[in-house]
Amino acid sequence: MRVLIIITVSLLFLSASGYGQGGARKAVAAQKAIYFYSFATQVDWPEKFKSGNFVIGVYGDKELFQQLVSKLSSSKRGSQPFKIVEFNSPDDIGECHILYVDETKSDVISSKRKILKTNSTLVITSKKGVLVDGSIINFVYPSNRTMFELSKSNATKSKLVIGKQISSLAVEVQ
Amino acid sequence: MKRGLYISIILLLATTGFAQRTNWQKALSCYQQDSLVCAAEYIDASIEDSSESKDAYAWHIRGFVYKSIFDNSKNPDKRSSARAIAIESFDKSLELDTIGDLSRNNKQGIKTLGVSFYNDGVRKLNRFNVQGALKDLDKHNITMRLVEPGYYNKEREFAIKKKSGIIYMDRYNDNKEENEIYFKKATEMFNEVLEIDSNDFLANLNSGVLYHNLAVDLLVKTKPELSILEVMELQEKHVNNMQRSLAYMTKAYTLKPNHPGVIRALAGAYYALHETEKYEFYNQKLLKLEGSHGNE
Repeated sequence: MRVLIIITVSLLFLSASGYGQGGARKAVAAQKAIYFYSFATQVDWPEKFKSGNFVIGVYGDKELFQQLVSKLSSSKRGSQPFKIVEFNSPDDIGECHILYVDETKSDVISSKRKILKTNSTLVITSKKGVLVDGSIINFVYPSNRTMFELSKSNATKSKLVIGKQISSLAVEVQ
Repeated sequence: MKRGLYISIILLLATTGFAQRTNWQKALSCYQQDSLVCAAEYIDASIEDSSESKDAYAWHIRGFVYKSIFDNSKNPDKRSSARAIAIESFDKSLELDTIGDLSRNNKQGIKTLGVSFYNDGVRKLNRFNVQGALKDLDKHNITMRLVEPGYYNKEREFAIKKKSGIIYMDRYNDNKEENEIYFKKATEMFNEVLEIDSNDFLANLNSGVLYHNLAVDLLVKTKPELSILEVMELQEKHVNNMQRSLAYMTKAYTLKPNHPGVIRALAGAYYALHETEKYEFYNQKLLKLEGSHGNE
């Protein structure tokens, strides 16, 4: 008598978990966070901003804030420890070396343009056409990739010197 | 099975006294009295004896004797060697049985033992012994092909391979850095299934999950101290893996278009690949199905 043992398939379903949009959101944010390290280390700030914490502010993107904390909060830019700050309203936005503004909040760039320029803040955004409003680096997404465009003129106005690698790898330089 | 053996042979013993009997006849007497040690001694002597070694009955009985030892022993080594001898003996009997009156029972004996390899494989999988299970699947196929040369049982093959893939997948997920090899092993298992049946839902789904999570991990787990060029190289790997995931998940979607896990993965993949319209399509579909945005 042949007796066949049947494999239960419940395990097959159980293991197909742990993926989806949450992971994808983290990945997109992590990609940007990795770029931030390169931007922080390959842009030169005026001398008076080269001491104390190196402050990265995030306005409107919680996932990016968390990825920046996870990736950078224990590292340094030269002698400057990274400090990651989340801003919840335009009024909270204070002095920072880098400010990321989510596409849904990009109006703030125009309203804060003067102070951002005075503080030599590297403004990074993720919205089409926002370089004209004062953004310096803007993420764009050609061919499924996260790339960036650069406004050298805005950088110069903020007394920032952009590294050669950033300039050469930007998909567009204005 | 035992009944079949008796019917095949009992007539041969009816008129023969013990002293005049051949070794295989003595072995059969021992076998009838459930003395397997005695039966094995006589039957092994029988096949060494030049006057009996070409006798299909001798090999036939040897098959049953050793099959009974396999059935009754608890010692794994003894069971294993008894099964091998039983299969070899039934096969030899088939070869020598030119008349064919033992054929049905020889084939049945081989098939029963062939199935026992499959069952052993399943038991090994339940103890997460994948290598052992896959070896047993091979032995199952080799044994079954002795009586059915083109034997291939898709259901059994897939059951073992898919569960093996899942176990490898779990090992990889337990410690992705140290168990990187299991990513490859898991995808190989699922690929073997998909090569036979590209419409297998679970193999598509799990392959998609593996590549999706690999794509995410590449970016989430990487330290940031990279040049921009290195970031872009990393991104290429991320995109390639996400696109591979997408191919499997798209296939899975054609098979089960309302499976929330598949739709969630597709929405996630399109989000990661910045394909906004497609992301919105699947996100809206998920919203309708689950009443949520499908966030983890």
